[in-house]
Amino acid sequence: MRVGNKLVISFVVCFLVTLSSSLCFAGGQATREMTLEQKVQRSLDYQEIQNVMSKHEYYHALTLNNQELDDLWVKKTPNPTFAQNQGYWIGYKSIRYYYGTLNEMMKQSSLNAICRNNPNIKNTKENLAMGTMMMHTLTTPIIVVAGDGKTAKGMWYSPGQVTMVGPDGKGMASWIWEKYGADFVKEDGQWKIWHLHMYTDFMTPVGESWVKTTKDAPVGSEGSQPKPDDGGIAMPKPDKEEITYKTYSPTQVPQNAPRMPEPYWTFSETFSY
Amino acid sequence: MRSGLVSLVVCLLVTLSSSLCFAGNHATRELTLEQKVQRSLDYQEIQNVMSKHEYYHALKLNKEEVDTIWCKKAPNPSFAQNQGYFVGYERLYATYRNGCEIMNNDATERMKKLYPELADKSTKDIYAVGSLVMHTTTTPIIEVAGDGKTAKGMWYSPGQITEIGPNGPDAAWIWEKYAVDFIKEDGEWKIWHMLVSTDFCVPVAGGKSWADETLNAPMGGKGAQKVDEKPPADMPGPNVAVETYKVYSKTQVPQNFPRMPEPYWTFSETFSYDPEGY
Repeated sequence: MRVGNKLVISFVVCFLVTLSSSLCFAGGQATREMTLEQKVQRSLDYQEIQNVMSKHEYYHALTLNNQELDDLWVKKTPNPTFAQNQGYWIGYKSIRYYYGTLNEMMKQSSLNAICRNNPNIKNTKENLAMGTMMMHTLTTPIIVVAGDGKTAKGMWYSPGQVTMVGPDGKGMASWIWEKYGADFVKEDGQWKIWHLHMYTDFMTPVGESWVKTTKDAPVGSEGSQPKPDDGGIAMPKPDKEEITYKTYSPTQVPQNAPRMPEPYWTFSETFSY
Repeated sequence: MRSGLVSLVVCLLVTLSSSLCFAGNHATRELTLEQKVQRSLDYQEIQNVMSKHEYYHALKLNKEEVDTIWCKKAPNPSFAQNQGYFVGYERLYATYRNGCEIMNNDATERMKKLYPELADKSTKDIYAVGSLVMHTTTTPIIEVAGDGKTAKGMWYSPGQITEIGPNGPDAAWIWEKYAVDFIKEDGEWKIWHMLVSTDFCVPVAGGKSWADETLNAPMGGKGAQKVDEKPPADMPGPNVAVETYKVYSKTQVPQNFPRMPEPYWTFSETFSYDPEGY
């Protein structure tokens, strides 16, 4: 065989090897294809997205909402949103105030109230969030990464508890069960939260049933804080007021929200939270 | 002919480029495609190991758990709870591994006295009768080292323990956090350091919540001792007796512990869930 033919064969073989790795079936994306490299990256993305969402819960439990916004949320993508049953907070400034600044103010007002009624407790920075214990868990995940690898969607059940101390010094422990729907964007190689939507099913004192007693979904990054008349913070309304979800009541039919993530190639093909 | 050579080189470079992709969190280092695939498998295998820990422990088979899914070669394995660290193979085996069986044999004998229908059964046949333990693992953060030799994980664990008290089974809610270092030995992920931080342990019955009262965190393998009792006298305590974590109280601020796993390349670059990392 001539040297030229050998080179042609080498070229064809090499080309086929390269091509073969780009012809793998892409699961949900029936009409498009992913390379082996893309598939591997997709597999890593699942856990990295779970890590980001779990970190959200741990930061929030530590009442470090501002640090969470700095570390885990988008910085470049337009119109991030934070939503609860009552509506949407839209844009960086609004989310920073509602989820971050307000959380700091609530911690201070809560401590002010505790100190007024408990002179032995010092009103110092170290005592902020005293008596607060929150654990929002993440279970039952559905995570879908876009075919183009630039965005992703996730949904979780979150059985949890929220424990606060009221102005009277009494502890209040509640069960809180929710669903989360979230959109993620990859910025500079790292997954970030873009849209985060909580759908609260019930928040009920421990020892009682949500069939008899459920509170409105928590407002302002977490619920139980003093009323404005008692030194608490007045809650701002959402930028977009809309009942996105209702807590349990005996006359409530099951609500098909959030919509489950579905396979998609690029974000414009799917819905948003 | 020269153009053929150029084509070959270009083609080889295209193929090779798939092994030089940026590895996300490891800003200064890169993972090959092979390493990425292994990393992806590691996540699920680590979750499997951690889940197996929970199922073994629920069966009160700590001995089998330690023999099967804990490290055998790595230095200074440790098991820790709110009251301190049990460090080294000897202490780990004396408490978490063997102590569980001792405590559950005691509990089984107690049940035989409390329930006449059990009296003529052998302790072995009804080992851990009346107990029901379910520690779940949720909300995972798993970070595998860039070098693939170690990993770190953290979980929320809402659960319940139904254990044998002086008057029979008592049911309690128990919510905890787990933080664990894993090490790969002979190709398998093993538990190296396990840290359990209990937030509350409170009776299910009685109409009270952890905001009203909570019990001390269970100690010594969370065996069959009642949750507010100390372990049997012949059970050694932690050899690093520090209060690593506090159960809920109304004057307690949120505790930033355990520290969340962070991306790292090799274990010396990160912190540990053993006493050195406290």
